[in-house]
Amino acid sequence: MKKHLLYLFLFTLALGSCKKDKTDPILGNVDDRLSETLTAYKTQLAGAQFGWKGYLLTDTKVLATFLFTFTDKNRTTMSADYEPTLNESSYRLKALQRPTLLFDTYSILHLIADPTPSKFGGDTGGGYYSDFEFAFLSASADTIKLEGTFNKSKLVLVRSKSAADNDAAFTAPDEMTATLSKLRTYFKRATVGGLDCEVRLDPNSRVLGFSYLEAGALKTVTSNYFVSGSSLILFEPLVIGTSTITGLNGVSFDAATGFINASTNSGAALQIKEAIAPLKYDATVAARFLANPVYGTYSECYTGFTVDGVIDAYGVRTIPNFFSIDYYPKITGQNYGAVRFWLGTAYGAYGPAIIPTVSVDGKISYVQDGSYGTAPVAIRPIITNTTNNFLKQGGFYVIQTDTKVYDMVAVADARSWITFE
Amino acid sequence: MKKKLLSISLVALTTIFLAGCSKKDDLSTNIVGLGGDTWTKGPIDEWISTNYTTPYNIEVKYKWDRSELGEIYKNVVPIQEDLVIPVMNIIKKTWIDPYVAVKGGDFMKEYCQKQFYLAGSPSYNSNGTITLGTAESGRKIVLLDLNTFDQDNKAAVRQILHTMHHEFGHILNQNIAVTPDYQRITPGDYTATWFNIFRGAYSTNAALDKIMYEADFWGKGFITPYSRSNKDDDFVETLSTLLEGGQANFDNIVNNLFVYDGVYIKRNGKGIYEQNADGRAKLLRKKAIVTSYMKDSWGIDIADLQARTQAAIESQSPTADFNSLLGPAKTYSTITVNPQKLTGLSTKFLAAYNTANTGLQTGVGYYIDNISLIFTTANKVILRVNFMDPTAALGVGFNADFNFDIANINGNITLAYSNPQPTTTTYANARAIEAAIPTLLNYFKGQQFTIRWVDDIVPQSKSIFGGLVKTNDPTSYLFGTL
Repeated sequence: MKKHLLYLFLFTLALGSCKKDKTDPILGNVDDRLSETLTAYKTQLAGAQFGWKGYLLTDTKVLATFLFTFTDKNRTTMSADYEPTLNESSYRLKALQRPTLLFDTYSILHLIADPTPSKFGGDTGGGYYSDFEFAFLSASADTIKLEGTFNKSKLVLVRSKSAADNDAAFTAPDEMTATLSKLRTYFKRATVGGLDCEVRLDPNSRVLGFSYLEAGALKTVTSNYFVSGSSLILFEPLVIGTSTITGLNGVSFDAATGFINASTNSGAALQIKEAIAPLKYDATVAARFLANPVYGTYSECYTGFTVDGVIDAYGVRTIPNFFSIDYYPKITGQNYGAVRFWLGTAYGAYGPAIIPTVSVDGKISYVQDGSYGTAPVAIRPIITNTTNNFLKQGGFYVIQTDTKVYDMVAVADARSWITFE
Repeated sequence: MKKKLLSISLVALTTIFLAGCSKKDDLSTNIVGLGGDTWTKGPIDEWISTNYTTPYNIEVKYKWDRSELGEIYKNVVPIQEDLVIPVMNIIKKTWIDPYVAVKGGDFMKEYCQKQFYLAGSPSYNSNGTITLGTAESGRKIVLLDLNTFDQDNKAAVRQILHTMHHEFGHILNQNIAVTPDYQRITPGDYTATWFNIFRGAYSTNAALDKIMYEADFWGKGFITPYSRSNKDDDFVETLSTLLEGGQANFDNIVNNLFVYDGVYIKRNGKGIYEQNADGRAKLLRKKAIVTSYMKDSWGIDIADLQARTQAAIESQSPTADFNSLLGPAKTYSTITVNPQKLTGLSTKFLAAYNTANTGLQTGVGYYIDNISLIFTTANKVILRVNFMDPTAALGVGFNADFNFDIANINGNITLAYSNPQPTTTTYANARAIEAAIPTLLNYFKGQQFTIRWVDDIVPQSKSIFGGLVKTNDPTSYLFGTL
């Protein structure tokens, strides 16, 4: 009986072992799919008649614009806004953790990633923390989004429409900057999804930001952008209340109204207008700025006053050997502070002594208390204009934009401001 | 019957079991990336195939692959395509070809490293140093910082070759071990912190720092700081330095080992230096073992291999002739001749020098430490005799300068004694001793010399020694360090 049980058991086992798993992967073989994807990407890259415009944002927020063409023979020819001479090198597509585009021999793209500072600048051992191995994040017919696998820099490839489109690629950011600089005031406003927003436009670092009030608190979102034609496209989408903005199209300045007109990605019209006061002002900053100069006793400014969107409107950078305007809130042992002009090795024998007063609502205003001498005739208008701007009626808002970066904005019209860092 | 049933059941069971086991998986799909990366081959790939892969089964990877780096977490960039062939060509000519010439192609096919990986920038380390290359167990060599490669920069070329010969030395040593006698030469001086031996680590006084730095490896019988790390690296460093640096380089290192008192070499009352006999003997013993190892274990005459390697380096990265490099605002401007630090000076020059030295000692009570020929002024050469007072402190020395007018015609100069001579201190010193050293002055006065390298006299000595050979008497010459 025991033996029969054993046989019964063995037969059951034997028959059970015959069962074969016949399930096939629904989506097909994984390796086949991967091969197909890589081939498709390669075909797409090589298939663009006028090549691709590439927009790079390194991990240290340095921006660069490229023009690429790819062949189906693993060759790529490129130029960049920082190196317009065409240069040929190689590329290939490889399945790493994700499908990855490798620029696998040295090229213009590698300059900005080169860890030897004598090549292109940046940090020793890191360069500008850029990449040349990019994983595909998403791809539509005309836009491929990539992310560096090592330094997490971002690269967006946009299919070029024409030779003219290529020609304009390196100049489009300057034209956009010119358009955006037509707004004269430091403060700018727009309405997004019914929310009143303060707009931060920094064309030099290509940063767009919105600040809005949420339950009484100021909330700020910012992103770097790149410029393609008259479009301004964000590297990171900005979420404002219930709206999401990924870019602005058709950016133009309307001279009649003094507004910048654009439309968002959802098609909604967006107007950016001048404003003379902040949406919400932090009244504690001014006192903090005066009490804690960036360099112990003073803070530095490298570009003088910006007036009506024109950087260094008075031309302090044209002063021979000019390095910085140093603002001392208080000269040790004196009851006044001073604005000094550092010329690399010594201060110029001119510049006003000024005494600050902070009002209860956090605005700084100045009165003059003598000067360090009369400026030479050639540069006297620069010094006079700068001095007069410090003495403006109504004083200044102080806006902290980074840990040790302060903007002083004229209260009267918000059309002149100066940055200390 | 029961038995039969049992057998049938057993047969049935076995059949079912066997059949049940035979599953057929579809193994026909191509796994992505299996078999290595592929790309459309170009001329560089063909060159590598012709010169490395086909003859020696060596893979040369120049396209970026982060996983090949030893430290994948560093910012490194790939090599420029146009440098791949120059770099690999020079490695072939100066590493593979000399070995093939001495031992034949099969030897290299059997033993050489099988993979190269090339990258453009160095790998920056957190302690401020940079890595220029690594090697993994005789299989793979990673060469970094190649985007700065310049065939005319001999020092950089030698650096790459040193790595090649070093790593190949490991392979040879791992196949046939060197005699343990080698590690018994300097058993107590191997250290894990060998990397603390660098210029600047010893003293803020640059001269003293150099002396102490060199004393910390050469003085102890090691050819490089790295050779102090362990016995195996010591062995291959000696081998690779002999091959990459050449014979004159090695001999010059040995000939410059002395016992120091501060920044000065210890000496007796007649100016005879005290040699670092221990350091010299250790280095020479190591060289002797390397030589016999190559001969006995591999049948390689190291002198032959060395000569071929040096000739290959010279032909790939030629040195300009000495005459074109010597003079005001040129690479070299001074030839320093110190017979105590050199071997191979001509007997005719030495006779003149030694007679002058004896004359100075008996006549004035001083001794000559060294002489130099200074070419810092156009159409002029200064013979500077550095002499010392044996009763004074070691640091007190005097220079006596003698001016000669020269016209350089294709490297041939005739030294016409200038008249009048200047009257400043060094020339006043010259007036004080000139009567005691006539043989030395007459060796130069009115004589015609040819300015040239002396690699026919001291083999492989280009860029180490430069010399003056009497135009009419090739057996009369002097040379010195530059």
